[in-house]
Amino acid sequence: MMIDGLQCGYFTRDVFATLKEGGFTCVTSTLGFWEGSQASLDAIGRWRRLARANQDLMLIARTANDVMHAGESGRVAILLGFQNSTLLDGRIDYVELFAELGVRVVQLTYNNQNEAGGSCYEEQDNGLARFGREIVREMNRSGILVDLSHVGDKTTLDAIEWSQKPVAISHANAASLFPHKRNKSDRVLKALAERGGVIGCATYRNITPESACASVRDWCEMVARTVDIAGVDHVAIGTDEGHGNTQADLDWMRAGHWTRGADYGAGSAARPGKVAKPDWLPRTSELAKVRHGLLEVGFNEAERDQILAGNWLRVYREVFPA
Amino acid sequence: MTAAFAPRTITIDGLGFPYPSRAMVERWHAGGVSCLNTCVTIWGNTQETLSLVGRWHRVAAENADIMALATSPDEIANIAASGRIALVLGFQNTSPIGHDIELFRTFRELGVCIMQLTYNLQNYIGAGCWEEHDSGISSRFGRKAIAEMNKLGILVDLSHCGDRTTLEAIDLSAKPVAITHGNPREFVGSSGFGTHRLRATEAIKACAARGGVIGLSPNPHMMKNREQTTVAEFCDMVHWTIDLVGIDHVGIGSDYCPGHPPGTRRFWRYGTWSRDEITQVIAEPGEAWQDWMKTAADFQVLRHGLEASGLSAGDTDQVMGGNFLRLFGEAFAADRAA
Repeated sequence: MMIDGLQCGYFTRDVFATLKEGGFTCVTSTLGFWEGSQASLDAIGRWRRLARANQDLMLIARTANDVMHAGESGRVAILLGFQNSTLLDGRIDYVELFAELGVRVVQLTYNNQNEAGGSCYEEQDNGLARFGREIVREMNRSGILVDLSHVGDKTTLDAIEWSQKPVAISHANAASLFPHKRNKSDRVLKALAERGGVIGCATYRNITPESACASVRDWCEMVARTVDIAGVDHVAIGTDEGHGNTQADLDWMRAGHWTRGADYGAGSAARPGKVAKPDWLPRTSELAKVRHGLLEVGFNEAERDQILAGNWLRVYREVFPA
Repeated sequence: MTAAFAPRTITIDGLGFPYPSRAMVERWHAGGVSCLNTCVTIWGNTQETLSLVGRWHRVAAENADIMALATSPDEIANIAASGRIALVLGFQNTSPIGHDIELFRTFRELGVCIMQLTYNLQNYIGAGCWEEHDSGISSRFGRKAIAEMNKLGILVDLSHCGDRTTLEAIDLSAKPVAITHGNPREFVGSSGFGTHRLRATEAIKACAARGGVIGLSPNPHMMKNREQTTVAEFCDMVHWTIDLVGIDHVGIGSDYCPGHPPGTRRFWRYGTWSRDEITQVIAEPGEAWQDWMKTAADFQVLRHGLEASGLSAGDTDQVMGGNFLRLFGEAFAADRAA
């Protein structure tokens, strides 16, 4: 089994076939970055059409058992995820409604502050706001996994503490291994682990050490160092792979409607556009290489399987509806 | 054209929230109010708010004998001179903007000249007065939003903002800002809307120092003695604030919100963001105002009270409308490049 805690972009039949070929059991997709409830409903509608048209290759999973079932039937389980809580339009009641529509992962904030809390690129983050506290508990109740990847440090710590269920950092790396605003401090990773959460290590070049982009072994080394910080029960995979994103998509992710100027997101003025995939991962299906890579850097098979899928699956069992 | 009360000078109510109807606006008109910052929405999103702005345009058009929409001091003066009330459209939240920088211009072109940055809670721009933590103005969308409002001629209102957000907004704004309806924490003590809904002395001073105006409210839920508050006590608060920041920076913002269906007040407070009861807030205050100001039709009681309290006629005129009119002139004007 292999579970990827986050991907984005255009999911087509070809992509599902590639995921299947690569041995992916389950992938969390990104249905929105800035969209409100209406556009988010549209995105869910599109995914239902996709699922009907590709039911031989994939299914939309609502439970941990669905994920297992997809694996057994040779299909890829897709978890519907959002990288912002804007889909709620400030309405506590929508948490449950979106959960009933199958949404399983919601990140509290995306790059900028919102009603829920602070974000990784804000200068100030004083923590989980009132609406944030409301929706975290409601997500706990409704079976939606709280994602803190793009969330600010203080809000991340507050949410880890406040949540009654384990939470996730679905796609980021350890800041002590690669300093970047998108990456997470050891303090955050230890707090996450203490409360049963999981971090999905990313392959996105802007937030990943150069060495880990150069070889699969070095990427697996990075995972091993992350395990040193958070423990083997709390480290998994969350590539942040994008399928067919264009510059226009990148612009939407970064600038949304909130700015007319340039925003580089995880990039920089020196590295403004799309970045190359890791040298060892030109195609998503090649993530399968980490199966061996993790053994090479010293994990035993049981640990390897935890990192590949077991840790995510445990969190899914604890968080999603039965 | 009928004028229930021919205003001697401009009288401005810095914030009121009538249900969009002739009957409710008539109360202000009867009270000799020449201009009202007319709250359009508190929690509305873009679509809901477009609908409400549309309704206000219709109400104004259908009742042109007593009201008209205004977006400048000249329009306000002309409408007032014709014995009618000038409605300036305003928001008590930036929820209609969401996080779309272009929507400031869109709503300004529809006549929305005043926007409160936050309503009690946090949003993309800053924090509200009911948040435990206030990170100040967002370094990303928040700063851009204030610059855009300055550029287009939208007055920044800080009445329900958190303390730090309030101070940072005053500092960041290139134009004077307003606390359209908020009473001094130091004078009042505690309030039915929570202590932090009352405005800090530091914020009032900073607002005034940058040319802004604070609208004092007879709203019983922001007065120490609630509905037992006397006109004299209200006037004491006006004098206290004038002593603090000078005569040029004090106005009136009634916070009178009549005509809404049952449950609306609960919705304003709890919004859609919580299912819990909000403990620090009184339940459904309704319209239990003081005997001397049952509705906005009694607005001139404030003028008479101020004059009786020893405020000169000129100073009274400033508090009753002159200061807000000056501020509107500065804040509603678009930058030439915009």
